[in-house]
Amino acid sequence: MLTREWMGVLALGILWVNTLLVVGAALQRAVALSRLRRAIAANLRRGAAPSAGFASTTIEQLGRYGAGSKRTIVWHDRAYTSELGGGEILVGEGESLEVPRAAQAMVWLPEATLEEAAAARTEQTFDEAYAGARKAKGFARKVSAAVPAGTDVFVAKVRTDAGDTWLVSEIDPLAWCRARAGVIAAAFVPAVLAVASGITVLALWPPAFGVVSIVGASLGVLYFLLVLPAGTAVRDWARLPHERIVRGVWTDPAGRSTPAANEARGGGKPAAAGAAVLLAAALSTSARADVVPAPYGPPGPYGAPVAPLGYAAPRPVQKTRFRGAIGGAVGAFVAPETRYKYYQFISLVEAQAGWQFNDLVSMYAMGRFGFGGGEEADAYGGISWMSELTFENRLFFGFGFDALFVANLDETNNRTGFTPGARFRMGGYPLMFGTGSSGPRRRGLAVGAELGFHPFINQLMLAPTVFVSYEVF
Amino acid sequence: MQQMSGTVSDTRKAEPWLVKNRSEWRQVGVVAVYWGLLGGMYFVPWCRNIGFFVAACWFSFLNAVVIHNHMHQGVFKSRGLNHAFRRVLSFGALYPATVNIPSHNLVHHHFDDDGQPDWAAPDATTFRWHLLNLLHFPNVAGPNTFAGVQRWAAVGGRADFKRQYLYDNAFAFGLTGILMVFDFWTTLFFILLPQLYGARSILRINIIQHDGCDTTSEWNHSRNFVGRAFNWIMMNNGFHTIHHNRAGLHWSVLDREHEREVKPRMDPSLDEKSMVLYLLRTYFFGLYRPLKKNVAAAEKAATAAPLPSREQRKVEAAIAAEVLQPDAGFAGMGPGQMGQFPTESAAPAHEQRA
Repeated sequence: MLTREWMGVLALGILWVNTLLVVGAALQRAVALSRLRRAIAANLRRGAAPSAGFASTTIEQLGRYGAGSKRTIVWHDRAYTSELGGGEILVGEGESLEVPRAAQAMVWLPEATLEEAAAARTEQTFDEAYAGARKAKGFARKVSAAVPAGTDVFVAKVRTDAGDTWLVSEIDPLAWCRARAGVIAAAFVPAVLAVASGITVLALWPPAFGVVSIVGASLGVLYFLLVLPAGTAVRDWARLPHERIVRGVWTDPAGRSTPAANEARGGGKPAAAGAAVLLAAALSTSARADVVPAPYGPPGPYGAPVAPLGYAAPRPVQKTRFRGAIGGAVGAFVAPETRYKYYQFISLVEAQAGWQFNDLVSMYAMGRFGFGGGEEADAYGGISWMSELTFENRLFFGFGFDALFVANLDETNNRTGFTPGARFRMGGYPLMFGTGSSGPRRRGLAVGAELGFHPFINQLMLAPTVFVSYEVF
Repeated sequence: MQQMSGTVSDTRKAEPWLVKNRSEWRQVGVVAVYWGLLGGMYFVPWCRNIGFFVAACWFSFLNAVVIHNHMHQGVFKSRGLNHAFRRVLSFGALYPATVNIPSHNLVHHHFDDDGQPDWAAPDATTFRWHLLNLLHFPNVAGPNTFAGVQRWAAVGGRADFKRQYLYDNAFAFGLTGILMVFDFWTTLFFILLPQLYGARSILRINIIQHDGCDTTSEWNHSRNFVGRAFNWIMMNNGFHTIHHNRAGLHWSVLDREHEREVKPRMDPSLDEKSMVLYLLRTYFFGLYRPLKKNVAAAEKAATAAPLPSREQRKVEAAIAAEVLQPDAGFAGMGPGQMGQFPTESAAPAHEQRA
């Protein structure tokens, strides 16, 4: 007979083995980035790019017409190549460095540069591409961007296991490697381990297989479904800049709809957003939301800004911006140590306001208010200070500190008071309505789970909740 | 007259009831046994033992094999029954069977996603300790697949796919959710764990079948497991090379076609008698990923060697028959060019490419 206890051990074992594998793979990536940083640092020089053809990168893409009533082209990256035209670069007073011509190199451009180049289009180029994109073989194109002459660049001959290669970078390569490796090692890995630990604590909370255990196990299943795509999202996020995923979607600058024939074939019907589809979308790691032109022109016929004919878009910069959200959460507020004497179901309204520093990092205050019902009725009000990481516009992990006020609405008043606490938060954006730095502000429907820890009335209270919210970030 | 009735009888014999091919009943039987095991463990406490649990995990993997076969060629003659069977299979694996169309049929079979790697490419995991690659592989291939499917479905004209995908998901997650509402722990331990085992194992089979092979070659891209009993229960899915090259062949004839087409063209080391022994040898007794052997060397050498023109071969035949002298000075032929025929074992590969 397989008892619940044995099966529980097996289930937690599976959860932890896979958690450690995800963590191990992420750390492997962080170590590789650190090695690369050391290899770059060994020969790094700095100077001005001598000519326009000095260094460039090209992405081969294939476009196919998109589903939906609007005319769109969905771009798919096929190959990434970087090459050097060669030239002599001044790297100090009277000192120069001869960079050879090379068909294969690492050319690192700012993220926005390639997204801009990929998004730039006119009505005419769109029409030509759309005609090809409706054919079975799709429409092939090359997106290229070069280091402008005179731009301050970092140059290094890098020795790797695969052989020597040249790096030309507009961004600081050491800082880039350090930041990516640092976020993985100091934020992603601890966050994953902390969430897995919290879930384990909940799942094992006595009495075994009680309500808190069920909440813990449910969060464990949700965690298992989310941590795997989180691992691949981190992998994609840490891809070297010369192989960065661009993809993107072109919308018709003229705002025309798809032909009726497409509608008849079902291409124009938007997919129903059922719960299962939301889940599958949440599992997606690297699908990018629309890449539309930067706001450098007047609004087009369908609202989004469009480029004037023949002009390139200016480079958007990731600026600190407002972050806000409104949503609701349901869950429980429980005191496991006293065998659930203070066990309540709670429902809360939550709101966020704070700063989104870039597409990855944010800090914000999160207020909540709601009621709990169980043996007795309580009102809850609180505020949290959260730090959060968002990966690939799809997944997020947050951690912060709480101040929670509990007001006992019955006559006893023995549970009224403040409690400090800590809070973990993770989830995904199954539906996104904007893209962030290179386009309109990111907006998305967030679904996920939170776990609050509060020492209250001389015991540890837990507040596991699931939430849905609309976020602008 | 007798002959004519014999023909009618043969025709009837060749037309099985409901299914397209009589051997499909084996697949239906596998799924029925799997549902029986899950149902037994859910409803009858006595069945919650290690025997039932292990069997359910194994049959969950077989259920995923049936998904694979069914999404290549529907089991039933009726389209409605085939769609209904997709739902049944999706519940068994807790993933939408329809996902196989883009992920397996259109991407994996060509080892290519329009220029980008297969979503289940064997080098998706890069741990030094090879056992970790086997364990971790589904954690990477799974999210790759769902992300890829989402991109694939964003293209126009795929509304029917999205509908089927939604129905599969709704049935699989809906039924599992309902079971959880009635008995959370039994569903988690005795339904969900076997479902996940099958789903993850079918992803894992990709690294087992392709790691160390040359996916750019025509005949040496896959490892085959050729044990008879193994292939009976696995619906001939051990014969992977022929399946990749001729995806339209029914699974029941893969063993025969493997012998006929693949064996003469493939490096013999890619035929493994037993999957269990291979797993033990490669992942449990071997610490590191085996060094890559150039399994397609002969095939590629054969392709690289130009087949002499008919005129040259005619000259060579004439020399062999002593009609011409070797030093007769044949225009257009350099020294050593004559006799550059592909090796015997590699010749068919060349013909196949031609």
